[in-house]
Amino acid sequence: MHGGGDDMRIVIAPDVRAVDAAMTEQQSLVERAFAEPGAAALFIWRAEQALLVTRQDARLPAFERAARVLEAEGWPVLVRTSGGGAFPVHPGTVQFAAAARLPAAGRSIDAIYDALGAPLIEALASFGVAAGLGEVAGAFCRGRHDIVAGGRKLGGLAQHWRSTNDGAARIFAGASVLAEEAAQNLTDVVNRFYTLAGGDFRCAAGTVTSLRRELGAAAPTGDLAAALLQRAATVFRSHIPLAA
Amino acid sequence: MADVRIPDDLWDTSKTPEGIVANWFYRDGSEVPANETIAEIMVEKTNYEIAAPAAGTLRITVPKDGVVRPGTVIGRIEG
Repeated sequence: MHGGGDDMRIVIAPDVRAVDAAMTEQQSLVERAFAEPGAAALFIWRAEQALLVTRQDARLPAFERAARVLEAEGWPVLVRTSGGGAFPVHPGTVQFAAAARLPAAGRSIDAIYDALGAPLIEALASFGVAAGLGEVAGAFCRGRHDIVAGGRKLGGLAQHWRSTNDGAARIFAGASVLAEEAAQNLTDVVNRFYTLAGGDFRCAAGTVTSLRRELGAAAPTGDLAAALLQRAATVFRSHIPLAA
Repeated sequence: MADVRIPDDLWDTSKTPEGIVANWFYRDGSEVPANETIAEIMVEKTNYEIAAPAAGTLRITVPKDGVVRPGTVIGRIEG
């Protein structure tokens, strides 16, 4: 997902911010990357708790009502452009957003998943967690390229492409990695959204983990999401990663 | 006439056999401008937006929720 070595713009937002502000900044960086052929951008950020849903989720019959109820309960609902399903974020998750405008011929979504996933797996390995890309039955926002550790979902990846008539594709790839445990059960939040919105999907308990849980007694004290953010940024810088 | 076609290499069908047409943003028979996003494919947590390859009248051949694979022609633009 990257055309060279020096034109990759990496922006890190280590402080927890409002999710709408973070997504606005993300979109600005994405659009800038799309405007320059061969350029690429990576934005790494954290936000207050929110539920990020897809455009398909937003077409559920009672979406507006579900969004109102969840916002009143402290879970603002925002619509993202990438695929999958509802994914809850909170200060203990780290979000990665990569974007580039690239020649479309021969490029595949599988390669893009591998390009974004490999540095994240490496960053997790640096903490001592053996993770890989795979699928966890019953997990929220489930896919074949989720980040899996110990049979549970530790993170998710998703994409948004737009073809153009000049042979290029505008490619966005996003990931969220669960570093810290949330104050609230995340599967309950996702199931409440789909129940309220009139969707059929329900996720299963016990399908999600976190970096802290995987580390167990070996987990360091302090802000593990901040540590993951910095560790991942170092890996991305050394890799010049998104070369698909 | 121009085909509205899913790229041949977009995904590995040995891993993900098929996707679906998640949405059409124009109705069959609508006039569409060139390069306007006219349809959205969903495959493996990826939203893939397809631009109109030319200006003209849209003819939909695979409806919303229809199953697609790389190389599938989902519609055409008649000039």
